[in-house]
Amino acid sequence: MSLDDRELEQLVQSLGLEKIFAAQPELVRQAHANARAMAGRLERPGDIADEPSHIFRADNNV
Amino acid sequence: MSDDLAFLSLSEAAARIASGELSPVAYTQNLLDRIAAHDGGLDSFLRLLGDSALEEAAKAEQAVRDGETLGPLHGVPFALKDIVDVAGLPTTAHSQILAQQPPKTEDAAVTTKLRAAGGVLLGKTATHEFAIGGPSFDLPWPPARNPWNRRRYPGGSSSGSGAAVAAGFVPMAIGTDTGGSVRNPASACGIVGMKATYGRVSRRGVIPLSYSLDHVGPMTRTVADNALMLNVLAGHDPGDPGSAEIAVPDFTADLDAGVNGLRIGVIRHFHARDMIAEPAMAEALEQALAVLEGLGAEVVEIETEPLATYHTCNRVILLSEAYSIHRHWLAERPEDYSASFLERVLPGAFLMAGDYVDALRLRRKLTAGFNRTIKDLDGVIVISAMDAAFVIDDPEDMAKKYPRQARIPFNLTGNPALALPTGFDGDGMPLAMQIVGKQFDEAMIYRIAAAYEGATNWHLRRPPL
Repeated sequence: MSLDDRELEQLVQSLGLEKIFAAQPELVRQAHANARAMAGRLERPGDIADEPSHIFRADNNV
Repeated sequence: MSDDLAFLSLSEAAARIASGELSPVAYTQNLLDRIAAHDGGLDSFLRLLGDSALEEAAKAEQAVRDGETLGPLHGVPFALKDIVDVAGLPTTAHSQILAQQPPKTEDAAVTTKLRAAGGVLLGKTATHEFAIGGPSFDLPWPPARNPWNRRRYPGGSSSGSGAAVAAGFVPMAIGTDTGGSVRNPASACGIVGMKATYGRVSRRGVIPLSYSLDHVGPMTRTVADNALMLNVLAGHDPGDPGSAEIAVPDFTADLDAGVNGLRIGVIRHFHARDMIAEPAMAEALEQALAVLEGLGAEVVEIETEPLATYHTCNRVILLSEAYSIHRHWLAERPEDYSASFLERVLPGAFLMAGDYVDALRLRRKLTAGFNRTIKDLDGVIVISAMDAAFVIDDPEDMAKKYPRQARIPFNLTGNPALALPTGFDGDGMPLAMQIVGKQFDEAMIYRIAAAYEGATNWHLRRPPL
């Protein structure tokens, strides 16, 4: 998912990251690209019965 | 200044203090002198607490004279990574963001436990910024360097703790581990670092990086010292939502039991297929396996999911949680972060809720699968890093080697994993492996590690300060 300048600016505003975007727009653009690439590499469980890990049940989290 | 005192084992120091043979004040002063002589340019300590440490040591000495009941670490100095709270001191996380914070009002759980066991707090150690952004040269304090070669990285993010223990500045230190940050400096500095099972050691009073992946762990020069330290640190804490309500065994009980008859797995594909380790690192691991076989263990090769599957899952969870923690500061004070922190954490702003939930769903599958794979084994040998420590001032070397590691899977699964030295490369830099165990079976990891350590002498080498 690649965004044009206007779309990225809108997203940045919705996240409250205008300050860093104004100072380092390329860093923010790269962070967005990296995040979406990472999400693209994530293996997604295909079975709706695959529940999330219960992260605060350390003694029973499997 | 005596090297003998600098490299005393934890148990030996405690025993000598308890018998009155070693003065805690003299011991503490010896370590302070050593730090004054050698920490310049090594930068393992952010904040040295010389006066208060000597006061604590004097009280410890008086307690020995008075015949009081002594804790297992009585009079022995320790250091804390500077994301761990100490009452009366600020916790900086090695960041400008928190550089002007007021002092904390309470000790972290691990600080309380180490003090209750008689430990003497010597200082706070360097870290990567908020335990992730580094090594960085644009922070209020310089990054720690490796005592085996100051041009090299000491591992991170518990960089100062690793460097300080290896340099003989303290016999024990606390690190934290979200993607390998206890085991990385342990590996790079040639010491022993344990990431116990998620929930085994309380995180209360430790600045979070990623709630569901963070672990607090002991860093020492020997396996026995590490087990002794975990004895002190482990235990249920209702103040930590992830703390496990499970019995704590004596982790030192089976240190001499050996590995004869044990069934130990090895995951080679992490370093021979998923990533390719440098030859010295891979050869050292094979030699370690031969040592364990020579001691009577059966070694069997096993396979799990590719490293990349674990890495991506870890990153999505870690960055989502880290962004949640840093959201306000990233919006309001981005200029106060280091460049490397921003580069690493800012992608978390652009991960979506569905990405995070899917990563948690994958995490559950990976954890269940890994634990099924190892159910008939006593432990598993895994490489720690693909390379020895890189050159800290060389951004290219860092970018290439920083992600080349196999520690992340066990932050996801929560299984205990210990890093310990397996030798040195041609440049004199430490090599290392991990021993991974079943959940809450740290005792078996220590048993295997102690057998290996007893048959080798890597832990007896000292860095040339």
